[in-house]
Amino acid sequence: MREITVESVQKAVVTALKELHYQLRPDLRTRIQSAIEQEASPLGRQSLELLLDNAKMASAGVQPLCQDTGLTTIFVELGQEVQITGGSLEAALQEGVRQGSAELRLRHSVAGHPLKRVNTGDNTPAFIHYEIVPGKGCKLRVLAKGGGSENMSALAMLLPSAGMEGVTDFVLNHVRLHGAMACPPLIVGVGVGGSFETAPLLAKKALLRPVGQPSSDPETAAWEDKLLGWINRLGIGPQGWGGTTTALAVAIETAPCHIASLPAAVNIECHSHRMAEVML
Amino acid sequence: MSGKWLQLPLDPKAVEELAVGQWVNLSGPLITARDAALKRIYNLLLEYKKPPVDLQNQLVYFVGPTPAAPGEQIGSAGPTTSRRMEPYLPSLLSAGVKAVMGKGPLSEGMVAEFHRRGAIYLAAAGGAGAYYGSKVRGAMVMAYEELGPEAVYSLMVDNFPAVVAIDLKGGNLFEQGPKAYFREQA
Repeated sequence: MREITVESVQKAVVTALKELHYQLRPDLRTRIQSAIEQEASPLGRQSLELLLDNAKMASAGVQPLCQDTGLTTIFVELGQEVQITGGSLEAALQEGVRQGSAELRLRHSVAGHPLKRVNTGDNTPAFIHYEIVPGKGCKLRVLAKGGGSENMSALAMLLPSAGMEGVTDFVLNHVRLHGAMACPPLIVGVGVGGSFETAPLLAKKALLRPVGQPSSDPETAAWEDKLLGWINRLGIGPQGWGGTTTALAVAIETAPCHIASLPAAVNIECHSHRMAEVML
Repeated sequence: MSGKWLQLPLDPKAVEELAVGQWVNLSGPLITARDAALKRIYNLLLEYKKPPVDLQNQLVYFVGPTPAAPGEQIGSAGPTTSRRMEPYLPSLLSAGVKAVMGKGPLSEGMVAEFHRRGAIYLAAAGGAGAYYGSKVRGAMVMAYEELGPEAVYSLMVDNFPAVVAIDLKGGNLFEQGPKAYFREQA
């Protein structure tokens, strides 16, 4: 058994939060730079340039990339040969979020009850998904997602007869109606298959891929490419001000499903896409 | 961003000249409010009570900033989604608000409401919080301090860029922009 202390888990969360809130991901920067070269709208190009200026300022460590420092979601891949020592893994992850929020001056963006809406004052609870995997590693993927883009996400329980075309229509129509409000250019995560609760999780997991990395399945990769092209013909453009860059990437994940079902979920992500990975 | 220099509080004459798609650089004082504070102000206005800040000819910015670093006026301070504020907007406009600033489109009905009442909507670039925070020279809590990031602030901004999204001439950037770049699916 390999031992990992709760202290190192907590520290890793703080490290990830610091990176993701203050440094624009390099893969994202590259995508934005090439979007500036290709964007047809002058207003669109100017707004994308403003995002690069913003990233430069945030990298100084004084003001985070975006004021909506989001709801923190952590995907834990825990090796089955790892023993967490010194306390509770869950508590260490939450404590890392609490500590990071205070040290990094993150905005308090969590309401303790969905209807009473009193701020918890420390950005907890973070939402944590655990996966037990073979080996001695412990990987944390930390995603801080703003409310604006999360609000524009959706699930559809389609019929099997809808097929690929039905899923495509659902995603396209959804982006057409709601994309402008989610800080475009977007990263569009799509989950196809699974069940009522797994399709949205698949869509969110699709966002964890390096930006622009195609699916390992060639058929799905081709679909991602086509869908990206179609989304960019919608005209929404950067900030919704009109243009040819509505999305920077589309990532689709699939899973087996019931013979009677075709769940499809779309998780819209903004252009800041604050995600960092730490290996313990 | 080089745009038309626009002094706050807004001069009605200067507002008339603005056109959709044009950059403006704001300088002067504005009021911030978002979901929780707007709900409170809305409830006061419903009961014909005085809001905690003077709204006459004001620019209301939809923002919830991050805490300021030591020695700084404010943290990250970019716009939030304007559509969410729609339930409160008609009474805000009735109370004298001349302009609002946020991100993303407003519904068709709300655009008509702005045109009818002669108010403008400025779109700031969503996700540029660090950049916008650097354009804030002063920040003072005016009301609802207990709401934390959702408190009402008076911000002194300098050279703060935004794009005219609804003007007084019947324009709407969020309709015209996408229409201009829409291409039929191949």
